Amino acid sequence: MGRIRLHKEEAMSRQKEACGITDTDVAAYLEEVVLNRKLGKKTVSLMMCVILGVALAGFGVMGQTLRIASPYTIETLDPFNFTGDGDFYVISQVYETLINLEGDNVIPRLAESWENPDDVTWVFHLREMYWQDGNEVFAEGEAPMVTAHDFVYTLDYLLNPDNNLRRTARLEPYIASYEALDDLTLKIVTVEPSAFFLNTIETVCVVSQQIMEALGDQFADSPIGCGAYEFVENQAGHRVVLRANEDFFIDPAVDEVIFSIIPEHMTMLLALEAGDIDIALQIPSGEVERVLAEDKVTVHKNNVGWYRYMGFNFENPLFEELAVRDAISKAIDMQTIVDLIYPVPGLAEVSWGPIPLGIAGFTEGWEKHWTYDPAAATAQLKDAGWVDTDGDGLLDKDGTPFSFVLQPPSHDKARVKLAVLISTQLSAIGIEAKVQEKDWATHLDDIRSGNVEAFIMGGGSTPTGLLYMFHTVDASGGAHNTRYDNPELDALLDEARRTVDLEKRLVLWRQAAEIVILDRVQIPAYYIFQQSATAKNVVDFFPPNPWVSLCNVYRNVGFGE
Amino acid sequence: MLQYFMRRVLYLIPVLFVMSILIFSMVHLAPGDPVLVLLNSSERAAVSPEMIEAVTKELGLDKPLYQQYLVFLGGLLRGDLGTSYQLRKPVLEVVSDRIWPTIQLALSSIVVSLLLSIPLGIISAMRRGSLIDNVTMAFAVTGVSTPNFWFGLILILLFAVKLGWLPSFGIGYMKDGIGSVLAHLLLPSLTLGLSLMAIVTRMTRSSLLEVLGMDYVQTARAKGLAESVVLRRHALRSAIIPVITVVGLQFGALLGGSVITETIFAWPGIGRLMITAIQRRDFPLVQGLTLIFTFSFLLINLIVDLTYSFCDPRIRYD
Repeated sequence: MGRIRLHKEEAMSRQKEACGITDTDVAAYLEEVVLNRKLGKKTVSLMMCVILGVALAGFGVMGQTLRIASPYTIETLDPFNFTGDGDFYVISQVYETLINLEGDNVIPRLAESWENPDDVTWVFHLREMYWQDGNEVFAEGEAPMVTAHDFVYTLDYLLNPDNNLRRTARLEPYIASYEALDDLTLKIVTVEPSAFFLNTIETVCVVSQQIMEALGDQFADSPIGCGAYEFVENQAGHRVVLRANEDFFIDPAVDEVIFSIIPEHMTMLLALEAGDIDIALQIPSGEVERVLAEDKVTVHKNNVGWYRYMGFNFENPLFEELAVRDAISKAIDMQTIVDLIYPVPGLAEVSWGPIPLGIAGFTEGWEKHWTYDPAAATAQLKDAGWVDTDGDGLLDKDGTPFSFVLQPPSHDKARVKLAVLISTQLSAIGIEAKVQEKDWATHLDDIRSGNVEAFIMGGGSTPTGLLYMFHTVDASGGAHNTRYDNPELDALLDEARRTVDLEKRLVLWRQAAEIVILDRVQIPAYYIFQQSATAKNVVDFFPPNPWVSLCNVYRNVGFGE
Repeated sequence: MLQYFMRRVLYLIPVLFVMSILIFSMVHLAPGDPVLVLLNSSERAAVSPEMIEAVTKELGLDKPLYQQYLVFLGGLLRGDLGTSYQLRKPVLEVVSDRIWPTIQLALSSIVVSLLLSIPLGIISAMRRGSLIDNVTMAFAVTGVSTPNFWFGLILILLFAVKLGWLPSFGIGYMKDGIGSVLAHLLLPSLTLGLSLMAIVTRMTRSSLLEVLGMDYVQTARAKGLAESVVLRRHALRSAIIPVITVVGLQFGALLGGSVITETIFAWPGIGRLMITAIQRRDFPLVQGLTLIFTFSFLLINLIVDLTYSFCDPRIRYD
């Protein structure tokens, strides 16, 4: 017992030192708490340091652990086959990619710098990094340097169709050739000039041939990369534990990172408030007001809004005419709807176009393209032949009532509310929009196969969003398919995707967005800003998610004052 | 008796076989394409037709349905339940990784429920009409009507956030000590066991009341035996039989309820795995898990039947 007590005292004094607190501070704090019952910032941090010290000493652990809770499942840690965000949150810490993107910023990771000698050539200069050591492949201190040849091997592996990898098809259309000019210089030539090459290469993680061959099938289960945090263990369905890579070129701010899977947002928030986790990646929007008022944790708003909209199926005769689609948009007061769904300010913004806030190309001022004018809507519909001839409250034409099914995905209550509110507003001018929720998988399938009349959908919150929502070819496979066929738009989008210069591309991008807006292909609804929350002492957590690695030249997420 | 047991076990095989055909058909006929779900699982998803084609081929979903069924059946006969689309691992491996937490939770819920509810039921029966009886019955009604989603969150709010006595989520591991395991287990067990507790309390009470009114119990009392002996040696044995039936039947509900409880408490069990598998149309995993659920349900019922003959020697099976 004596030994443990000494250990505790030692730990406590070390902890106090680390926090910059002296014994006089402790005495003063006690006085303040006992006399004044006030817990200001300093006392809270003092208290936390003391408690932390005692707690850590009790467990005999000297390091700091960052506990992150993610609502997404962690299905695989295989960088060639992952499909979900939850997977990449972990992969991004263990493996290094050339770059990471945060809004318009390109964060250099393995690639220290790069240049474009011409429109199709990318030359990356790699920084000096080493593979993680102290594992089954490399003994402590014996890991070789990461080279451009490793990246060539990675691309060889990824682009080989015989390997049957899920992420091959993502990169393959872009790459014409690649080679290592020397150990630290990598040259990649694209098939054509590409505005989105960096977006596509962002998730390509460098692997080493030696590691791949040594681990064989175990490669996906015991990832070894060159990132700031090393893989320790994966407790299936529960959490993944990582520890700091001491040989990383930056000193990681914490010794251990634990990613826990908490699917229920409310539980995640409660866990944060109970002190069981440090970062809650998604808190329920209904709780934001209370959490902000109580001010016990820090709320972070996502820097990218997630776009939600109502889409038409263009093959439905009801929606063939622009005048009709436009009339529908005039009958919908989107500001009121969004205020009703999200009464707390800041959680969501009305969207007036298909590029969300936080993605390049977003434009203030698209609002001018939309009006709320139910009277004009009725008049327009009348001109198009839609009148209530039989007095049943519904417009009709040639015996057909203006009735269609509006389908939202059932898992998102906000989108269901959106559908219901749109339906209510449309019924005021005699249009019946029957709301029928479907579960996510069915919903996606229905949109893809054209088995919908009108639908509520979301996504496209990426720089390439317009392509996958509106380009006749790119949208054809997918979950945003309005079956809108406009060759002029396709040509514009194709030209934009080949324009490497950002400013020039944005001009084209905005033009494309305006075509889509003026043609009423979708009725934009809102951007929702996902709210995450962290313990007060977590620092540097921007962007508020681990997609961008926790430790790089841009940030080093950890604890501070 | 042994013969009976062996026969029952053998019956499981054709039942499971028929189930496999049913599940395969239902799962494949339901709308929804696993490839679309897999690739659209992110707000950043940028899904091209090429990607969809590639993954469809990878998963063998481009083959005609009858061929897919033959592949499934062939695998089944070899004991291979297929490979999960999401997790890219054999279904058996995925399940064996995740089944222990669910078993742990289900067993401890049953234990916690029975430990609390049987004594309560007995006391209620012995003191029929008293305050304790009325309170217990009120609790029973409330327990059955309380959604365990809400109850779980309230428990977390009270015991983890406000009082800080227990962890708010997750499972504990033996390497951190038995204390950690039990601390993590308590709240989820109470949540999952709540409706079982309510039902068993009522069941015990009514069953015991019935038994206590029987002639042989009167005889025992007339012989001068103490009430506790009457209870223990004579009444309880018979009274417990309907309770065992209920527990056996409720096991299915427990497995279903585990989905919600596991989601609330971020418990890494197969309940949660099942719901994710269904939502994402992970056909092999759904098929495999359904077969496993079916098997365990049948097994539990077998155990329940066998327990009868232990409790009531008159019940014999040929």
